[in-house]
Amino acid sequence: MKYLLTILLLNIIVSLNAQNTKPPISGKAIYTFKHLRDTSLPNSIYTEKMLLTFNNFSYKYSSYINYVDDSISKSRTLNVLDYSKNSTQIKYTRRTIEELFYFFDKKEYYFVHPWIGEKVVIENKIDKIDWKILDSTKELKGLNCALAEAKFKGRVYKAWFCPEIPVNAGPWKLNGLPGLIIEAYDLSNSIQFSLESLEKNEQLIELPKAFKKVTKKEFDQLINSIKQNPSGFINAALNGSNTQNGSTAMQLNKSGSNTQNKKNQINNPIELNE
Amino acid sequence: MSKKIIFILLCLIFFTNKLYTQIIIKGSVSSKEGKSLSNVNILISNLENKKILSYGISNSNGLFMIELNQNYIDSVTIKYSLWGYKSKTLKKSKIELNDFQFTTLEIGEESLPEIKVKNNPISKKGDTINYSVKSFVKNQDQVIADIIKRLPGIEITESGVIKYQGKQINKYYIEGMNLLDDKYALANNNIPANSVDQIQILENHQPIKALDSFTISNQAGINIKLNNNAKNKIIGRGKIGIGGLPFMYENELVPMQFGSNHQTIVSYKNNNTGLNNEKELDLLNSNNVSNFIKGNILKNPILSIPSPNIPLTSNQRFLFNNLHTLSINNLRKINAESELKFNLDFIKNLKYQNSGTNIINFFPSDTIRINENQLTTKNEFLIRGSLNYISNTKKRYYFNRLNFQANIDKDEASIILKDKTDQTFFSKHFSVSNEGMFLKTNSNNLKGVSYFISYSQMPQRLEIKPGKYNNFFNNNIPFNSLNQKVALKTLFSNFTVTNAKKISVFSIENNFGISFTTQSYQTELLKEELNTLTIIHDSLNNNLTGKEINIYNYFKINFNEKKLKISLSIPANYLVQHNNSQKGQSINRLFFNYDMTMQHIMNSNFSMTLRFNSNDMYLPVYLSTERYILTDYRTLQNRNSIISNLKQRKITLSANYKEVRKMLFINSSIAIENNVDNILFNQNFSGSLVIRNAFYNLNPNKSIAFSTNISKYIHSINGSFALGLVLQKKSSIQMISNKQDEFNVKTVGINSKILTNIKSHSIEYTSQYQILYSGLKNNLMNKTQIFNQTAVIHLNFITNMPVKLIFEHAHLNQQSQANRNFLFGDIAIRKKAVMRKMDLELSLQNIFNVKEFETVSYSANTITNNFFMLRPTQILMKAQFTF
Repeated sequence: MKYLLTILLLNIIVSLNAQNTKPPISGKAIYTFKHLRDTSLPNSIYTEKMLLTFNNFSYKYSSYINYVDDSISKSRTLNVLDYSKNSTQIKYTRRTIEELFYFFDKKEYYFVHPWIGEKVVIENKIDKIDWKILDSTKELKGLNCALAEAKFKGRVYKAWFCPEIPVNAGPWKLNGLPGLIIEAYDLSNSIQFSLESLEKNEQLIELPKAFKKVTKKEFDQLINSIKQNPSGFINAALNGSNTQNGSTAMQLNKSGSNTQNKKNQINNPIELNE
Repeated sequence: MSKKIIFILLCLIFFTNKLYTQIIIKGSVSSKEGKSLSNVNILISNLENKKILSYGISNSNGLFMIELNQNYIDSVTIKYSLWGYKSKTLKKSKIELNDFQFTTLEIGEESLPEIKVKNNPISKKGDTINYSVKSFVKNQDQVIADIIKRLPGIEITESGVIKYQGKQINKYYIEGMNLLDDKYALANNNIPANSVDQIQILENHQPIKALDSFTISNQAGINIKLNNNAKNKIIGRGKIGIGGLPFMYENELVPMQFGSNHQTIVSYKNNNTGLNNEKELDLLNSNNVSNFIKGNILKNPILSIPSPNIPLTSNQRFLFNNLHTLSINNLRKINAESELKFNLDFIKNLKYQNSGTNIINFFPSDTIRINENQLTTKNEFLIRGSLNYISNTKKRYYFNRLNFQANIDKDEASIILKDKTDQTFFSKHFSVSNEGMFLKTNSNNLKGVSYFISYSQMPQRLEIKPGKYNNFFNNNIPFNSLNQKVALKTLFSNFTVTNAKKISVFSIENNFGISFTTQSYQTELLKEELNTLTIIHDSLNNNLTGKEINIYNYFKINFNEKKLKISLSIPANYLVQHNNSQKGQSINRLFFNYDMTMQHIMNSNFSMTLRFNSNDMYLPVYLSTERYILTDYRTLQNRNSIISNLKQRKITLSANYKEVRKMLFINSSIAIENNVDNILFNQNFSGSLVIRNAFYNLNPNKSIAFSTNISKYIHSINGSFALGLVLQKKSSIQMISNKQDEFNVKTVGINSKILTNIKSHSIEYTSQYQILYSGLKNNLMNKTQIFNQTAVIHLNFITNMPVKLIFEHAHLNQQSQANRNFLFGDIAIRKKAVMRKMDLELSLQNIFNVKEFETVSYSANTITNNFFMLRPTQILMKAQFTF
């Protein structure tokens, strides 16, 4: 009887607890990401809308939509026409297929990459960024922001963050400031993230259900094997992405020949060797 | 010496240490309940200039560490913040290391500043165009119709019909559910604007899923997506209004609920302010009404009291009324694919009208003018209901609907045409019908049956006091009253078997069916003398019974390819109609029609549609009476038992251009119509009485119409612009006193509409300019110009206090008459959020106190000028609330 009562009590407690756990609040921020990939084409800047879902403990960073900046796509098309006569097959839907998941409490982040119908995940320790807070303040998008600077992945970044939104998240791998990063750019002006919109939502930040954990080394091998064997099927399944330096480089999604791949090389990747 | 050096060095070390020493602050933070809090931001900033000096972030044990320059430890603020918790700010003149131990935070608001993107307000995905309501909603918008009418490519007509690209929509869904069928104006006029998240246009929408791959729909559907705050709870609108003078009221209560598997809209409205809320309950989709017409399901007055129809636009100026409407609509999803719904409407309407009519009937040699004044009271009562079961899956479709409708009307009028004549019209119309359809598909085949059965009866009586036309009806002796009675009963049934097949890009559909109609029609004209009713003469009574059997086969073939869609149907009919008239009229005929539609989709922007159709129609049995009927107090008509036949031929070419990203919509169409009637009425005037006698004669009516509309959303004016052009020419043959002549009416119309926003103010300007020519074939002697313009201005100078101004100007220019100008003005001031979700509105109508208004209408050889007495300057106070 006592046993039963205990179970009953436990049940009630569990159910009460269960009722209390509503989905955690989270925020949804959309950033415009700009990247000068090829310094020989200074007018052609890769642009994409990126989505940041964040809460107090974690964040997820991924592509928002297939966003094509009109002016850029035009200049791209012209360039392509210059060297490739058969331009009919070329499609310029570009998006980042990789996703980043940061979990501050676990001090870990995950790099998630689609892999022929599945997802592969690389687990990493969060690199603490040594931000220095500078004197400047300014208002961005109606938010009071402070400026911080740090050296990260071979570049020097300046980041405007908003202490009024006390989360440590930010676009891409930039994080760890006492407030949401509203705008960030590197000093060479090759990389830029700027907040477009912000709203509250209720969404859990979780790793995808089914995935294959790989090490960075294994991942690089996978990518290399694709490079050496660019069969159509794998290419399509991978959404045409290739990755340089094993980093989260943003790539064009396109179907084309090897020559085109070469032409679209990135000489200015987001992460530089330090 | 060495001691000195050591001393200096020590001093230096000490000094520099003093200068650059970082102190390390350690602390912990937890919730009030004692739970360690991670990711808390601890910011140390200067008290005066607010510069951030250093910061720390707590780890998963709630512990944190901050390095701070020793120089900065004086006069600081320490701020602890964590999203979802109340931040804690401490002001310190000097930092003490133990200030940071055991800080606790309380749970607080989870707010986040919102930043909105300037999104393209329209996006397209497949056949669905999404309009983001946020981009179109204005401060003054109350209901969803206010937003929909502003969307580029969409128009809402005066009667409430929604058109997309010039074509009527076929379905109006709320959250994907079709609660109201063709009565969608009720939802459109009542769903609060702030409950809607998105409006979707479903292009080429086929509501029957099983038919999707078989037939082509060129109509669009609309789906209203509500925001999360509006779902699964009772929302709605209400209004309480009083005013003067005379005493006015305007009240409404419209609760509604949209759940995941049920929807309800209830609406009760009353007013005597001239609002014609009953329009909201009208059935707006004119598709597939042939069964309704054949079965006489809808009110169909055979007799009438002549009175001008008030113009639909701003009829609040004209209508003196006393109206109550109640509508109850409920839909319940039985499972994912099937639903049960019932709709019930009550309308009680009392209308008064004081009007005058000048009719000019012009003939080659003569002109007859009729001037009359009417004082009319119309008393209408309607109950209408339907019970509907629908199951709609990709494989099968079934629906059954039971409808009933009862109309009880009593109209009274005093008409002054030389003398005063009192008229009373009674009508009781009752109908019940049941219809249904069953469709079944497997990969390439479709089989279906549909049925319709109905019964209707409609006794009507027209009483004219004192009795008129003594010379005809009573040997020149005055008598008390003239009574025309009619009674029509109709039993109708229709049964169709459908077969459809799909062979690659072709789909073939065949409908074979049979319909039966039995009608009995009694009419008698009576005179009342000394309180007794007597029959005047046999030639003024009818007792007609007749039958019609129609066996038909509609063959339809569709060619459906990405770029080209062709649909051809060849209806074949075998029709037998006979009646008991003395002439023993009967027909027995086999005839064919055709209907071909070709749609060429050049690209995602441009498409063209060409349609040829021919339609042979035989009018219902009861319209072949052999003796006279007094249809109104000045028309005596005899159809001479002719079974009338109408042949219609029509060609329509229309082109649509849309550039969704540039938000530009253009549609143009040209329609040529050639109709031939086998019946012509010879009209003879005897004083004010028109005697119409039908005889067999080919009677062609021709019309050609061209229309084009351009509509564009313009970012720079934050609004839209629309321009339309209509050209039309109609010709018909009339016979007056045994002489036939052709009469023409030509119309040129230009419409424009500009919606613009200046800061928070908005201006809506519409104008119509019309030139009408009418007259004999080669002598269009009558020219009339009508110019109407309306400006609706919404001003938002004071927050939450929008002001609405309406100015209407009408100009009438008729040959041989002085120009007439009418200027109307209305003003309404609304105070928003007087209380939570309640607005107050004060309105002043007809500021300039215009007393009379005039309209002109044309048909063949008649020009009708109508004069209306208007409502005087009136003031109305309304409290409106949403919940």
